[in-house]
Amino acid sequence: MAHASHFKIVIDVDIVQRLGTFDLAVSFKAEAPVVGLFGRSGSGKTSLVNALAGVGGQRRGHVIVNDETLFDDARGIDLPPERRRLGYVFQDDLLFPHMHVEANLLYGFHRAAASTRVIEPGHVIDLLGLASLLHRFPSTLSGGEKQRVAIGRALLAQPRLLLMDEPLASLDVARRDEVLRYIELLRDDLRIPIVYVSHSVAEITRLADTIVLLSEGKSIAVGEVDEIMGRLDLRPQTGRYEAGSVIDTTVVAYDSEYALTTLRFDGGELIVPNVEALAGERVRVRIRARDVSLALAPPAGLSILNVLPGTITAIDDEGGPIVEVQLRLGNVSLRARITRRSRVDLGLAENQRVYTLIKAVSFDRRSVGYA
Amino acid sequence: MLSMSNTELGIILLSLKVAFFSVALSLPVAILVAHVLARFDFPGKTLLDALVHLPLVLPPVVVGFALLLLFGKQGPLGALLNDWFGIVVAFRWTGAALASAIMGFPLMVRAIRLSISSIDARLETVARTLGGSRIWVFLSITLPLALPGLITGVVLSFARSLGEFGATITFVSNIPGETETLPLAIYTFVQSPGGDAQAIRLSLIAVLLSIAALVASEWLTRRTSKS
Repeated sequence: MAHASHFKIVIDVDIVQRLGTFDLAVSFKAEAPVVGLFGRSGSGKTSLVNALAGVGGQRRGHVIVNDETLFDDARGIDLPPERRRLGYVFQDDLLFPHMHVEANLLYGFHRAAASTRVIEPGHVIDLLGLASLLHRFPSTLSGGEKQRVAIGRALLAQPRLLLMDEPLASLDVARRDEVLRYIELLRDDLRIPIVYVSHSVAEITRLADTIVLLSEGKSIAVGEVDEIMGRLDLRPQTGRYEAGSVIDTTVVAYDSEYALTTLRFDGGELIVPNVEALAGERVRVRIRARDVSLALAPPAGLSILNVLPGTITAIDDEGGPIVEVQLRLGNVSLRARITRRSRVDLGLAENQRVYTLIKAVSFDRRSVGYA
Repeated sequence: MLSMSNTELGIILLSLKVAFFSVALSLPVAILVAHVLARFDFPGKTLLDALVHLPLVLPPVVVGFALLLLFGKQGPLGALLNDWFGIVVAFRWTGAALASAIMGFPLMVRAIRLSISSIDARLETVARTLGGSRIWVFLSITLPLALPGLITGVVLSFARSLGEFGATITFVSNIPGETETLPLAIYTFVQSPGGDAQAIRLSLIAVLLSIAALVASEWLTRRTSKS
């Protein structure tokens, strides 16, 4: 599920910190456009983000972002937060209450060296839809508007990456989707890498390419989203997660009569509902393994809209009633979850050509995002 | 009887001058100390806190006497000021301003500290991550947000200065035209036979000044909270 983008961050973290009775001991390397830090509350996510940003107490270890050492106690390096250039977006918007929106937006812009100013205020204001808010004070804004201003403010400080700590947590459900779309938009438009912190499976799987799983102050796994989320041994930390696949696609057509969108990816075309995107836009979809059925021949007289040919690359049969089948459609991998009986009846084996059937209605809002 | 005599006017102007300079002298120090007390933990913090509050609980006479010992012409600090800067504070209006500044200091620090403590420290953190240095963040975020407390502190210490008596009279004595501020003048008239009418006139003026200060602070607070 490689993200079709060439911007990314390389982040190398090794942090040991004692915080009261809590011990943070995190060590990982990750490389992706969007790195997700995922874990239950109390797993040390915010402490880790603070360590990256250089705020909140003494610690040992190192933080290296894109080959630049921000912190290394052994070498006596500890850049102050104002010189780390990480656009920290907090759970609460934390707008400066005595400044109107425009002054908030420009606070970091004015501090940034002129040579580093590549993200323009006008562009960010357009992108985040802030033009009508510029002369209002934070106390008069809605939760979603405040968080958009906070994100814009962080961006205009010309950061090397955005550090977002549960940026949707203080918003109601309707606003979350709104802000999430803006985050996806700016990531793609400005090509800015993001470290995204969340305890929400839905947010992490929609945004992140690589995730770092945290538990009790330690990083217990690093890898691609579905690899980590699908691992049974991590189930206690990840919670119940529907195994599935993430596919990056491009919008090719919209059928207004039925309100269906056609998405193209390397393995073919998918028809999905509930996408508000224009032709040419990139959209990320998540297909749950249990929503994928398999057939030996192209079926006829069927309500399922998406029928795509593929090849079986692996079958995970542990003798239980359910079998997981790994498929390849073009250069994209897809998982299917079927019963062992079906597997035996169809005589499925590795390298076999099959047809994958995916119901269009299985794409709910949460499984379709802009990428 | 509404017109004031030149003497009365002189007393009032002197009082205002002493109060103004005492506030101007203590404000920067008070802001620094209040910020340190509100935002940092360090060994000896309790001691500093106690020291700041000392003028509030000590008899003013003791403060005045201590100032006399320290800042008198023979005192260690007084000699230093005289040698280095040619400033003499003993028995001068500048000494009255110094005494007032010290007496009003705890009130000023308390008000400003309270105001800084009530500011979400994460606002300062976010300002740092946006590229603001420690000093810039203090000037652009902390100070403006602490403005209501600053105003309260200034007004309290200004009013305290207008009413300062014990430390002033002990330190710089009661010299008409130099150190005889409003309370000292009232005291002089009360002590002299037939001075009651003058004492009452000056007392009324003191009341008016205090009310004016309170109204001004109220107005300023409302103006700043509007923006």
